[in-house]
Amino acid sequence: MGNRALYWMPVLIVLTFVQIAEGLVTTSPSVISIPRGLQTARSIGYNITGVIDCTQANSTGGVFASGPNVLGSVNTFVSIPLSGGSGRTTETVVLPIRVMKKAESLRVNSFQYRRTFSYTCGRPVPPPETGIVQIALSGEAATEFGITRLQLYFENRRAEITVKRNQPALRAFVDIRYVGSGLLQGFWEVDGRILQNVNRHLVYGRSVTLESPEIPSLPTFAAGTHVVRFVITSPPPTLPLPEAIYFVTAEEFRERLAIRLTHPENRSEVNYSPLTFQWKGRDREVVYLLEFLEEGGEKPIFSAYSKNLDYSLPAPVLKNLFSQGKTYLWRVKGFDAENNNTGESPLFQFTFK
Amino acid sequence: MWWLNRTKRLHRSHQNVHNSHGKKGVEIGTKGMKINLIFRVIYWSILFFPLYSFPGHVFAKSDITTGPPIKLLHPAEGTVVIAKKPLIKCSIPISFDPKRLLVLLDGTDISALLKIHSEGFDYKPIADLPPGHHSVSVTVFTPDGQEIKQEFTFSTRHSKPFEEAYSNNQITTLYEKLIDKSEEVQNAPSWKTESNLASESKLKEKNWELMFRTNVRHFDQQLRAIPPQEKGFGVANYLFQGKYSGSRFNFLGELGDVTINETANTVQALARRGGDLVFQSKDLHLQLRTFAVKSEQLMGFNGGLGIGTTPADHLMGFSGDVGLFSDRLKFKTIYARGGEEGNSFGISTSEGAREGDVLGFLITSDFFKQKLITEAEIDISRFDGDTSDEFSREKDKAYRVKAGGTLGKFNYEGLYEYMGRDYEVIGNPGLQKNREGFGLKGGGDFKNHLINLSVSRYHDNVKKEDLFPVVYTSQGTLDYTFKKYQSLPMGISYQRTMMRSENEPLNIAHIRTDTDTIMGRINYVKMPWNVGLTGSYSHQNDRTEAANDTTAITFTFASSVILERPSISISPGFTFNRSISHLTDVRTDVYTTTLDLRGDLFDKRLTYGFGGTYTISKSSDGSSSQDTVGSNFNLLYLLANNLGGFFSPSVGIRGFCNRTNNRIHDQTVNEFAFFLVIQTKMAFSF
Repeated sequence: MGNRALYWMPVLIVLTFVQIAEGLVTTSPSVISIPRGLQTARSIGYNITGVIDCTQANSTGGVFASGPNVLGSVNTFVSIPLSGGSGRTTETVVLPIRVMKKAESLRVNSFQYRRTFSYTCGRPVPPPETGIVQIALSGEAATEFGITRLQLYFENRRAEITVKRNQPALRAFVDIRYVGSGLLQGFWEVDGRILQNVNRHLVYGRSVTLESPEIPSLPTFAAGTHVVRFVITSPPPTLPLPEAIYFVTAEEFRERLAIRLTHPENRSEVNYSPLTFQWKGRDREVVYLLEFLEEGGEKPIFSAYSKNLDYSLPAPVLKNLFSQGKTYLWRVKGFDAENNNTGESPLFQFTFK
Repeated sequence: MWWLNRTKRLHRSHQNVHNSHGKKGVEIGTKGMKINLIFRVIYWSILFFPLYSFPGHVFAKSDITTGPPIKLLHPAEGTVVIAKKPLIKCSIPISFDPKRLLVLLDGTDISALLKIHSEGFDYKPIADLPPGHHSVSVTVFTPDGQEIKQEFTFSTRHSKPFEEAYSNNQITTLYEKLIDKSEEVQNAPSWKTESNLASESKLKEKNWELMFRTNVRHFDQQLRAIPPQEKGFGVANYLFQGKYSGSRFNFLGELGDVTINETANTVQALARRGGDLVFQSKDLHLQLRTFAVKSEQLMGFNGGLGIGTTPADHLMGFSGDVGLFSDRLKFKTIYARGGEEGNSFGISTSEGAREGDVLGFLITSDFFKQKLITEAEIDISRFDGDTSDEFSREKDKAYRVKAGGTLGKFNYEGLYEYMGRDYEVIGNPGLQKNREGFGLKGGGDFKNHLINLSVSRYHDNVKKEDLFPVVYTSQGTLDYTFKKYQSLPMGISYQRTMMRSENEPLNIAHIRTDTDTIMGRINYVKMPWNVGLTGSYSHQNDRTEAANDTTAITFTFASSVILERPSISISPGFTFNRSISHLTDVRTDVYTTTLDLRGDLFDKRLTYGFGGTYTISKSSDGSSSQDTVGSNFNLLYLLANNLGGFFSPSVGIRGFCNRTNNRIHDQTVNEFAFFLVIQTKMAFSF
């Protein structure tokens, strides 16, 4: 027994030594699913373990292959510094459309991405090792959840807008084009400050448009340039995050406060006679402009100025412009001493009996 | 005959004066005899009035010695005045009730704004009158209740060479000097200047109109500028428009930041820099359009005017519309071609350089006043998704048919569409190719209730290729809003989506996913308050062996109050977000509290603003636990308002404070920076 142990001891030592000298390259993820017909970027992690006395692992390029058929190549250099026999790094791999088309022409819907690493070590140098990622080609609906396009803009459909100081209700929009289905997580950010967190389930279909919150809206109290972003945290972004810029001028926005119409009430029926219209205004307003429209009309059929909080429809106007049995709309706008429009009411409806 | 009676009354009244007074009566009597004579002339003139009167005037000018009772003194009737706010003076040489005086200017009652005096009234418009013809209608009521009405016309121009001419300009200049900052802040420059010129100018003469809008910017700072900002001058945006509006045709030319909208399956909502020309013939109900824009989104001088014909980085095309039966039936055709090279300002994509062209035909009809509107579109595209490879363009087609309308309180819509496997269009990145299906929608708007229902079913892999599965997506949505109380609208909605795959190849996993989302909302809107509460629950059930189920829960409270005295606006908000991964049994909670406030004091001499967010996030598996504070503020004092009529400088302080506390790694990062701010605005118009 002792002799057998002595006989096998050197063999075991040599085998152990060989095992310690051999590296192990694993990829993360090891399987990915990508949509056909759409150039896609994926982040691949390489993890090397079990290489002692080696300082670096290098790879000059990667290959897309289906069996012996090479579909394409990636000519980028990847280096992994090794410490204590292990190391890791990530690579963003762009899968071009031509690789997918070549795979389809071979009538295959899966192929591999292979990257071979060679080592810089003391004696002995282990053989090169290959990290392999299995790639499955699929339709956009069946593939992994991922973002393929982001477009950030304001109400003018551009990523730049100029607004006045204290302008309310400024909002940004983001069009997100995605593949697959899953939970989108992210947040709206302006000048580095989070405005709102977003959690939303997306099911494969058309692209989705998200809006920045109404409260709080994008701040406009400080003049100058401001930067808006929609930051995506899940799925892990493979795209650079776009930015939108808005510039706030020093000119003050004249806020239009709501004017409350009090009489006649909305959708009421009134007698066909000179009617007094009443509303509640604001201190800032010195002149009010009433506008009367027909149903479906865009331009007023009659308007009138008033310095008070009421207006009585004159008999000649009633006879010439308004008819019995018809429905009309009315609204009030307020103007301050500098003739700025500072108030506006909603449209109310009334019908002459 | 009322004039006749009035003359007689005046005559009698003066006779009475003549009879009732002594010496005064003699003087009055002498005067009275003269007046008597005058009124006798008038009396007989009126008798023969019909023989010499002509339309539009109470009296013929040549036959009346005293003139009409109401006279437009300024502007003179029928004249052209060069003014934006011409003074309007009217004389009313008869007794009238000032409370019942009714004056309409271009159909607007201006009676409340008149300066009324015993001989008439004056009026200075409060807003610029648009150039062109104006009408003034004056209705007076005599003390005995008789109504006299007269109308006048005049014209205005803003200047001698042009009917309308103005240029409004506003310059904002900002200088910031760093006062103090924490060590962690790396990207705060020690100084920064920014300026913006906002300009809008217009010239109009008869049918022609030229308009120019722009924002020109200057930026400089101590540190390197981070794109897309650049040091120096730049044009943030501009638009030049030339229009001709005639009785038979219209013409529009645009250069600058334009928006192109054609059809749903071709170019849509494309905002880019370039140019377009539109010609409209009213007689033929015809519109022709051509456009050429830069494919990438631009800011600044980069890319120049945007017009070009290189297909790799431009998008150009033309379209034609013709309407029949008073535009109740319309035909449209569009051709566009171009290319895009990847990312640009505000756009991030995984796609590389691509190009293609598209030809589309659209027909729409509305013969029943929106009760039934139909649309049919067919399009053919040739598209190369990667111009750097050896594969050429792929040709494919898309078509859709839609019908819908409004029937009283009800609305409805049905849609069928087919997008070919390789159908793509450069100017419409949101299009979903390789998809076929239908959708039905309907709703009703009742007095207190609003209900909407929609169902749809789509599938991909339209060519049923056996290399890939076919995924069917069915969706149903029900939305209800209760709107009886205008200040308290509330609603609830439910949506269910089911995805199922069929014909999967051996190496492709089966898909069986159901997603249920329920959302509720309630708002209270009554000035100065606006309060809203929304909640949503969404669960995505992965019914395969992977069982990768997720749940998302959100509650949001948002409110704002706007007060006038003191002048302040406060907007607090709170949001709770929970996401659950059932596969790993990990729950992540995020609590977000926001506060925004702004206001002014001392009659707007002092203005302030503050925005802050406090966020707590933690995971149930202990992988993350963090709270962050982000805030910025601004305080400004107005040194002078409209100095010299156009200059308003302010001085103040701006700053931000951020704090991140990572409890897992026990790390806290504090950042702050404060800046001295000098800013000014200058406004000049002509």
